[in-house]
Amino acid sequence: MLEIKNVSLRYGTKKALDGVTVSFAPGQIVGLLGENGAGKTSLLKAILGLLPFSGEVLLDGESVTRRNIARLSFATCEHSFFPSLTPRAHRDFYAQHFPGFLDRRFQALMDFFALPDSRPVRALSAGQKNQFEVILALSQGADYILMDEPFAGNDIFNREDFYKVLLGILEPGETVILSTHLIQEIRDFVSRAVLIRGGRIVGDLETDELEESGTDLVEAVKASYGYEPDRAARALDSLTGRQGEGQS
Amino acid sequence: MKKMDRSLGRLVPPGISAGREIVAMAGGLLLAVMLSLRAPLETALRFRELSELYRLGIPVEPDWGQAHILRAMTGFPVLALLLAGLAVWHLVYFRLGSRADYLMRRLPDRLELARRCAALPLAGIGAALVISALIYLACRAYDMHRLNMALRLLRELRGE
Repeated sequence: MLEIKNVSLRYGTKKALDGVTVSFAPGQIVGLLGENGAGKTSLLKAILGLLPFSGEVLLDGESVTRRNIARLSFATCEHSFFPSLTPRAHRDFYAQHFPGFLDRRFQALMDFFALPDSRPVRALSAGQKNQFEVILALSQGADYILMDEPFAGNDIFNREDFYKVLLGILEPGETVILSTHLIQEIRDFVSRAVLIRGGRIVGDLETDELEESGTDLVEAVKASYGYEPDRAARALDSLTGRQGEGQS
Repeated sequence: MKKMDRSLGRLVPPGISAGREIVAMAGGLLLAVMLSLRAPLETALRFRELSELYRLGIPVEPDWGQAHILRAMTGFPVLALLLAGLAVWHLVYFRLGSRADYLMRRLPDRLELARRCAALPLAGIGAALVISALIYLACRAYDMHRLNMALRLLRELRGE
């Protein structure tokens, strides 16, 4: 169990996370949803200890330290690979540092995405780089796989393929926390959606429960966010002066 | 070079050639050593000048400090500064084109990042310190030797 307890984080005077408390059980695929600047990236980086925060992050009851950090992996849209190394050299590096590295999974995913093994990663296309970043996170042998907008720049077919592969390869105990704003795309793949806004958790939805009640995830997210469907229409009316005309 | 890269590859950021850095460092050390040879050369020239003056019967007090030695050894602190810069460059390297520092900071071995950034520069600075200390002592010894010889010549000139 990955527990985040009352985690707060600031960038100077700006609060990025404000007392976030949430936990993730093994075997879930969780969508961490929120608009830009909501705090998704900050939360993932706080979990990994990449940003200083107050509060607690516990992995099966223990703080995240060097002893257990290999149980967390991270794929970020900023990329965390070494651009001048080849995928093969990355495989060696990961195998050297992460005892649970899944060599077979790495190779299978490399084959699936048809990524070249011996070209430096910097020579790959933007989409291939994203794929490779995700492959590394999935092959590290971690129990909790954190992904921060991993498909930014990938085309829809690529992303669809990836979701399918993800569902197919995950072991029952592996948890994926997928930060994204592509709600519609992931609604069929996630088992839970955690909504974050202004650094606070504003919703925590189980997709099974939503299905039972006949609610669509996208609509539930909109409701949790207090989305006003007529906002755009009102803004247009006000811009074009139609509202005024109507009144006169 | 490739052999060095293989055996010392864990001391530099992934993708950087350890062999090339070691060769560059050794070159820097060699240059600093060659520059420091100015000190004994200067001592020898001063002694030669004094000997000439004594031969002409001019009793000049042989007095030279160690400023010329320190001046001749400036290559070592410059090299140390460059090596400190290399450590900073190693750190920056992990943020070039990606945020590989995120990966380095979540490795189970907490010393991995520090080792890959600082090991070679620190080894170079250590080598520069040791070599510069040895050269300084050797220059001082040579200085004292020449100074004693000059004093003996001066005493002879004064008929003491």
